[in-house]
Amino acid sequence: MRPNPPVERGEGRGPAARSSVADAAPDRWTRWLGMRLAMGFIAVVLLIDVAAATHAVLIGFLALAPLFAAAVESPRRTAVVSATATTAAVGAGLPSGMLGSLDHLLRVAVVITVSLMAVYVARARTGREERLRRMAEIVRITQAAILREPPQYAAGVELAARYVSAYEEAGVGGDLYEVVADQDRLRIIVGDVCGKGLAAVRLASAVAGAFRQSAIVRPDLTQVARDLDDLVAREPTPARGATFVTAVLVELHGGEIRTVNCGHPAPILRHRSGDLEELTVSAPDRPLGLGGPRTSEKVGRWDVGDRLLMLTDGLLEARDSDRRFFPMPTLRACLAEPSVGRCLDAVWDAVHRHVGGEPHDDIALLLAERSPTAQ
Amino acid sequence: MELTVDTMQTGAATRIRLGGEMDLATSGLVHDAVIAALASEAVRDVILDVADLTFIDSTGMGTLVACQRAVAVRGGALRLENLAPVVRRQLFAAGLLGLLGAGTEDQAAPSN
Repeated sequence: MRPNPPVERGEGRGPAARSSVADAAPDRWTRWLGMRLAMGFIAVVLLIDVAAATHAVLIGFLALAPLFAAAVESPRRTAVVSATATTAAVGAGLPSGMLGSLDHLLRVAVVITVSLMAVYVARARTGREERLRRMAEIVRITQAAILREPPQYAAGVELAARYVSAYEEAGVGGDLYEVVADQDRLRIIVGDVCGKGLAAVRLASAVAGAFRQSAIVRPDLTQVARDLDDLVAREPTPARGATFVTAVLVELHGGEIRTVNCGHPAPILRHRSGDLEELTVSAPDRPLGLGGPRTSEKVGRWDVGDRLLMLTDGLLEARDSDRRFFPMPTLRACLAEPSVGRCLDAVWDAVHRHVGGEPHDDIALLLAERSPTAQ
Repeated sequence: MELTVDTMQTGAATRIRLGGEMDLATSGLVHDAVIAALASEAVRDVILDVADLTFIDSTGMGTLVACQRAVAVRGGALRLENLAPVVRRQLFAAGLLGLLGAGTEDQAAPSN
C-alpha cells in the first residue's frame, strides 16, 4: 500500500496527482489478474487430476478458485469463475469414469456450495468498498468546507498550502489556516488547537471563521488576536485539560511583514539568497484563549522573490525512528524548489521520508512568495 | 513514554516532582496528582519540580494550564521549578512561562 496522498491545496498537483498517474498503467493489467489466476488454478488442478489419474479426488480444490476471485474480483467475474469451477468439477469425472458416482457427486456439491458462497462474498465486499469510497468523498468535501483553499495569487503574493492529517483519511484536525485578502493587503493565520478529536476540529473551524470576519474589520492584528481570544475563551474546557490555540497572525502589505505570535512556532523567511531566518519575537504572547496582554505587531521586511513559510509544530516535531527532529538543512533544500506548490510537495515528501510513514501529528503548511508587482 | 510523579507535602505548599515525558498518555497523572494535593485543606500552593522532565507536548502544556487554573481557583499559585533547557524553550515558545510561574525571559542555555 502506498502512503495516503496529502490534502491537495493551491495548485492541485502534488504527490497525489503524481502517484495516480504512476498507478494508471499497472491498473489496467492488474484488473484482470485475479480472474486469470483463478482460471489458471482451475486448469492446473484439472491437469494434475488427469495426468496423475487421481480419479477426481483433487476436484475439491477447485472450490479455492471462486474463493480467491471473491477476494479480489467483482461479483460478476466471481460468478464466471464459479461456473467454470463447477463445470470443471463435473467434467473431471469423465476421464476416470467416476461421473455420477456418490464420491464424485459429493465433491461436486462442495464446489457448487462454495462457489455460490463466493459470489455472495464478492457482492458484500464490493458493496462495502463502494460505501468506503463514498465516505472518503464526503470527508474530502467536509474538509474543504472547514479549511478553505487559499487563493493561488492575491495582493502581489503567490500562495500554496498543504494539510497533512495524523488521522490518515480524515484530512482535517486541530490545525488551521486561513487567508483573507483585502485589496493590496493579505492577512493570514496559521494555528494549532491544543487537543485532539472532533472538539479540536470544531474549534479550528470556528477560529478560522472568526478570523475571516475579524481580519476584515479590525485595523491591526493585535485586535484580531483579542477577538480570537474572546472566542476561544468561551469554549468549554475538557476534563483534565485546557482549551487554547497557538497561532501566528501575519499581515503582508507590499514589502512589509507584520506578525503577532501567540505561542506558535515562528514563521520562517527564506531569502532569495537561500538563507533561512526565523521571524522570532522577543517573547511570544500566550496562546489564544488564555487571556493576558497582547504585545503589538512586530514589523519586518521581505523582498521580491522571498518566501515566507508558516507552519505548525507537527513539522518541527516530526521525529524519525531514532527520535530525531526534522532537519533544517532539508527544509532549506525543499524551499529552493521553483514554485511555492513544488516547495510544499518537497516538504511533504521529506517529512514522510524522515518519519518513515505517516506523521504522528497534524501538519499545516502555508507558503507565500512575494511576486514582482505590476505597478 | 514513562512519567514518574512523586508528591511531597511541606506546610502550605505541595511539591510534586515529575520525571520523564509529559504527553497525551501521561499528562492525566500530573493533573490527578495536583487535584489530589488540593484535596488537603492545608495546601494552597503547588510547586512542580520538573528537573527530570525531558519533553512536553501540546497536551502536556494544556494539562499544566489546567493545573494552574485548578490551583488559582483555590486562591493559590502554581509554580514550575528547575526547568531543563529543552522544556524551558518549549514553554517559552508557547508563551506559557509567565502563566506557569517560571519567569518570563528565555534563559535557555545552548542546546547540548
